[in-house]
Order: sequence, then C-alpha cells, then structure tokens
Amino acid sequence: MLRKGGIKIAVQKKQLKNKFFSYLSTIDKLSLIGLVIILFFIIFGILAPFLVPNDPIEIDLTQRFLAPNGEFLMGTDHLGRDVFSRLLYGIRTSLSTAFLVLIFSMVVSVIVGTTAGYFGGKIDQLVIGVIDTLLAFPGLVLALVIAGLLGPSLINLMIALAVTHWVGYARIIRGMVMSIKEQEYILAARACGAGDLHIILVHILPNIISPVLVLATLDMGYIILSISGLSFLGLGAQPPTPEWGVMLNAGRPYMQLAPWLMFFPGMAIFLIVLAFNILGDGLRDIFDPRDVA
Amino acid sequence: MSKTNILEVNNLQTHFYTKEGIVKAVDGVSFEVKAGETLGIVGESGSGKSVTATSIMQLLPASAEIVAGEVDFKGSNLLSKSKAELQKIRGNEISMIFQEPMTALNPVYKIGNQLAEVFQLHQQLNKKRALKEAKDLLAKVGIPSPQERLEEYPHQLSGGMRQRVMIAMALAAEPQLIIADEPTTALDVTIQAQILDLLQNLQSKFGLSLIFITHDLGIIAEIADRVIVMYAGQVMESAAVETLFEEAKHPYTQGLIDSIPSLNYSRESLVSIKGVIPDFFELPAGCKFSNRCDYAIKKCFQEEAKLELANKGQLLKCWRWRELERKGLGDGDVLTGS
Repeated sequence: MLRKGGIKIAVQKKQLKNKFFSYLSTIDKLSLIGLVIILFFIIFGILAPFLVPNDPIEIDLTQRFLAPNGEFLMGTDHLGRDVFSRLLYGIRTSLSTAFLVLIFSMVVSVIVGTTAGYFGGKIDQLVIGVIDTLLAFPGLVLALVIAGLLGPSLINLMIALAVTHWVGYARIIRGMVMSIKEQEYILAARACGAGDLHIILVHILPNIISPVLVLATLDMGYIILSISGLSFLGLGAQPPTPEWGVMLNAGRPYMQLAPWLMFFPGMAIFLIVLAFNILGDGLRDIFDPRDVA
Repeated sequence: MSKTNILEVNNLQTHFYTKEGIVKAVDGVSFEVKAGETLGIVGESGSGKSVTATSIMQLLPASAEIVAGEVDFKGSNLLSKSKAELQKIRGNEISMIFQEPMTALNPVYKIGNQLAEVFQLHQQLNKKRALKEAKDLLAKVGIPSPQERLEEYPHQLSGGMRQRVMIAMALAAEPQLIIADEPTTALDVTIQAQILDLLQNLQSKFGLSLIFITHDLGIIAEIADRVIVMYAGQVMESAAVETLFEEAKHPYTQGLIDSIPSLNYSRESLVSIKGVIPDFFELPAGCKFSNRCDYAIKKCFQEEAKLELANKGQLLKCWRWRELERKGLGDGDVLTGS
C-alpha cells in the first residue's frame, strides 16, 4: 500500500514537472533569455553583500582609475572604489526603486481605473479630466519638475515617478473595465444577486490581470531607465549611493581616460531594460495568442 | 383561478433616454404569473420583451429608467426595494437565464467555481460544500460526468452544455421564478428540444414559475401555459396557449402564426408580416401596429385601442377584433384595405 502511494505521488510529481516544462516551452526562446537575465540580476542583487569583493563606498585614493584586472573585475573609479561592487549594489537600488514605483502605480491605477470604468458617470468624468490633464505633460518632464521641487533624493524620485506613472495605467484599466462590464457574464452575475464589490473583485479584476501584467513588465524597463536617467541628472540617488545613473554621471568626465566607468553601468542598464522588454513581449504572446504570427 | 399570482406586473413603463429622444421600450405592460405556470412572451426583435424581463430584475443599463408601474413579487413591490434587498432576491428568489450561453459565463473561471459562487452568495456555504452542491446540480441538469465538468473552463463546453450550466446556475438557489430570455435561440434545433424538455422537467419537479421569452411560436406552443404577444413595447394580445393558436384574434398575432413555416403544404416562399418593426421615433400615432396591419381603418391610425377582455380570459388591444372575429380572420381578401 505504502509503495503504491509513493508511486502515485511520484507520478503526480512527474506530471507536475511535465506541466511546468510544457508551460515553459510555450514561452519563446528569446523571452526565456530575458527571464534568465532578470533572474540573474535579482539573485546577484539579493546576494550582493556576500558577493562583493570590496566595499562599494570605501574610498581609496591610492587605487584610482585602475583598469579591469584580477582584483577589480571592472576596474576602479576616480575615488578608487570598486566598480564591480558598486554595480552589484546598484542592482538593489535600481530594481527595488523601480519595483516600488511600479507597485504604487499599479495599486493606485487599479483602484482609480476600475472605479471610474465600473461606475462611470460623474466619477468617471472627474477621473478622466485628471488623467487627461496629467497626460498632457510629458511624463519625464513632469517627474523632473516634481523631483526638482521636492529636492533630490531617491525617495522623492520615486514619488515623482509614481505620481506621473499611474495615469497611463489608470486610463488603460478604465477602458478594459468598461468593455468587460458590458459582457453578458457580468449581467448574469448581477442576476445571480452579486453586489458591485463582488463583481469588481471576482469577475472584473481577474479578467484584466494578464494584460496589466504584460504592461507592467514592459514598463519595468522604462521605469529603470527613468530612474537612472533622473539620477544621472542629479535628481535621484545621491553620491555616494551606488546607483547606475549616478555612476554614469560620475564617470562622464573621465570617459576618455577610463571608459570602463561608463561602459559597465551602461551595459547593466541596457541589459536589464532589454531583458524586461523581451520578457514583456513574450508574455504578451502567451496571454494574447491572437497576436502570434 | 385558484392558483395565486406569484408575480404581478402593472402598467410597467421603461424608457430609454437617448440623444435622439425618449424611447418607450416598455409602454404600459401588465401581466401576471401564477405559481407553477409558464408565461410565454412573444414578439419580434425590438418589441420590448427583453427590456420587460430586465425591468423586473432591475438590471437595466444606465440609460434606461423605469418611470411608472409596479412589479409585485409575492405581494411586495420590487421597484420600491433597496439595492441590498434586490440583491437578496436576485438569484435567490427570481433568477434569469440568458440568450447567449457563449458569453454568459466568465471565461476565466472553472464551471465549478462559477456555480459554487451562487451557493456562496445566497446560502453562505463554504467552498467545499458549495462545490459538492454544484456537482449535484450539474447532474440534475443532465450533464454527464459532472465531477470532471467542474474542473473545466467555459470554452471547453459546447453551447448546449453551457446553457445547461446557465440553467443550473439559475436553479442553484431554488428560486420560485425563473425568467428565461430566449434561452434556446442560440442553440441548434435538437439541443433546443433537449433544453426545453429539461426546463419542463425541472419546472414540474421544483414547482417553478417560468417566464419564457422567445420569438419562436413553436417553442411557445410547446412550453407555455399562457402567452402575451408584444409589439412596440405594448401587449397586443394575451391568452391561454390553446386559445391563442386556435382563435388568435389580433391581426399581429395572426400574422405571426401565419409566418410559421408549415410542413403540410408547400408555398412558394415564406410568409411574413409586411414591413419591419418601425423605429421607435416613428411609431404611428394610433395603434402601433396600424402601419403594418392589413385591416387598419382610419380610427386605427388616430387612436390607440385599450386592452379589452374577450371570452376565455383573452385580452386584446385592437379596435376591430369583434368584426374580425365575426367575419373570420386569415383570409385577407375579406377585409383588405379599408
């Protein structure tokens, strides 16, 4: 009996494993690469304190501008800090900041978008007014203004980005909710005696989750880019915080002398943004099979 | 007349507010449904059948409003109930079956979860009990291997199966009244017959009252006890089903009956009522049907008739029904024109 049970569990495990792999195989190879890159970045970011060979903010003026070598994999900067260590810590700054901005934007836009889309009428007009006004400004410029007004710091940068960022989502979510609420199954749910909150949570949100997820993934790259960009301009993370945009800015005067100062942070930004974009594309193909050529 | 009325609709008026003006989609409709009986509502597309149904349930779109009338369900007026009270009644005491089984199930949920939802909403059962009830219910509506169906998504079921699931959902809380809005229109004929049989069986088993909306008189003949015929938001004729088919007196009803394709003798082409249902903004001033009626006289165009009681409980909204009854309706040449 015991053996039989064991076999059954083994079979189930195998089926589960097969299911997992068959699901993975539906993702195209390119976005799988994107996923792997992102996972690598995340793991390196989490393990950064254990992986870094040197203190990322310790200044050692005796070792300035060392080219990449055995001890300093990516060389050292103008203050003698280890670029590799700073880069690893930079993952933490970039990803966590971007993630928080994304989460905040998502929560706000889902609440605002579904409320406006579902209830319509005056609420909708108000929300759409606000959204249209905010969308009339270029997002990055508005973020620049807000970050400038609040003073340069990472927290303020996050606020600035989140404030400008939820708008686009809210508009898309509102549209999706408006089309879903006209579906007959929503009417059927109401005919079964379901209330508004129940319908929104149980019948509408699950239907918008997958497109929103795709959107969020595609957008993650853009947010990372914005954070680095604004930090590069001096409005975000402040030195000596290890942040890619800050590193790029710090390396800029020495571009000719020590190109590795800009090359590695630049590559890091490029890679992570690219990875999120191709993963987002892959997810879109999975969730929306109509678009597959 | 011994049976009590479970639902009484009095002078119901539902208007749609559009940019072009007010559309009187339901214009003073009255009827009653007795416990355990089936009331059929027939009419062409756009005659206000579905709006009548959604008005009873108060599931109208935002642009529509019930401007007058009463909907008495078991003695209390549904129109004066609060939103929360209505939610308790919907699905629990009155439920609805929709026309499109393809779109009336949420595509992201398994059948089991959707059915269980009704139990969870109205009987506060936990998920496990609710799923068990859902399975029993699927078996009752004739779905084979219900346990497996619970785990399937709507797109994995055929149209007929989905309509059975919809019926199961409507039955879940054991309501006293089910409003079926063209439940078989989207299905092919053999499945239609199965679904009708199922509805009739369930009706006698649970003692349900049924409002059955359709444009198919064949289905009405099969399922209904009494019939109301609607045109342009008004009741044109109301009668017991036998009376309607044997002695339809209203020219519109007669037209509908004549339009049924017959197996007995061949015709060159299908018979139809001339014209189409007019735009709601261009309805005739008098009888709404006058511009399509073969028997319309001057009076018909000027003044609207009232519903009058003929024999056998038959109600008619026509100026000329007495004349037409005497002279015999159906041979258009007797009275054509005027």
